[in-house]
Amino acid sequence: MSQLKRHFDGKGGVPLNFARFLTLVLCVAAGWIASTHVTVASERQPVVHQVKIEKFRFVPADLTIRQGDSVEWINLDIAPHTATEDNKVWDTGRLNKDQITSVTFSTPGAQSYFCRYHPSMRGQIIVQAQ
Amino acid sequence: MKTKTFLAVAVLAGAITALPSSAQDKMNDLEIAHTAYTAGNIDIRYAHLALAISENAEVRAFAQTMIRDHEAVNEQAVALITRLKVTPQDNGLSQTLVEGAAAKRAELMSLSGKRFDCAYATNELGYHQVVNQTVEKNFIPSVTVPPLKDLLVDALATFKIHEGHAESMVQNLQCRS
Repeated sequence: MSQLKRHFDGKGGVPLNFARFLTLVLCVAAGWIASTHVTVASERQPVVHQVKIEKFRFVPADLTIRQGDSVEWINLDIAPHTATEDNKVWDTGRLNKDQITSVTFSTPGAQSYFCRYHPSMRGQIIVQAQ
Repeated sequence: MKTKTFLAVAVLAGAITALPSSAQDKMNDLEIAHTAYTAGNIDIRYAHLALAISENAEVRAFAQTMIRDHEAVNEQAVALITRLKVTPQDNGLSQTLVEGAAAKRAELMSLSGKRFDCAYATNELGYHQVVNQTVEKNFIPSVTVPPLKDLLVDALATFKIHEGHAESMVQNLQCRS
């Protein structure tokens, strides 16, 4: 009986070898879960960038983003503005004071834009491949 | 044409400085609000005239911008006076501006083609120069209510862009040659 007891924890519960085995299994499982989460975290999530329209300027005027990211423009001026790609590939439309509109960029490359109402206002979005 | 530009500025400047300096010094916030709103409306009416007469793409685009921007500024002004529960006060300067604008519109309506375009563009340049100077040097320092001061500062930024735009338009139309 005393021989048999050495295999237990002394409290009449789980055998010690089995407890070590269980701990090992749990550690492996935890490691697997952690590695899975690390893998997910390393996949870059799309980012939303902001460009302020302030005193008839796009701020920042030049912005570099990654493919799949979005840019939102917020107009802080009284005068309405737009952010319009040079060839009108995309256009925020009219933005009144404090209005926000976003555009998602899925194609890499440099895209210049301007305000249709005040063409001297210019900006550029550089979209880098993922 | 330089002389014409100078005359246009002088006439507008005359309208604004026609009042005794003491009268200008004593303009209160409500009078300043009224005059600023009136000045915006005058430019909107000039712009509608330009859209009715001009066939020049640049002049028409400028006129549309004047309507869009000045309406936006005036909407903010209306929102502010509604929030403050006050009523702008008509005054001598507002009346002088309105009278001067009526005379200028009559003059513009008698023109067509490039003569109209140049007269409109030159008037826009002179008008914005004088209004901007008045807003910057007289109105903003005099106003006592912070939200009205902020509105005038923001509006001035818009009007200064208009002034630069008008200057380019005058140059592009080769009005001074």
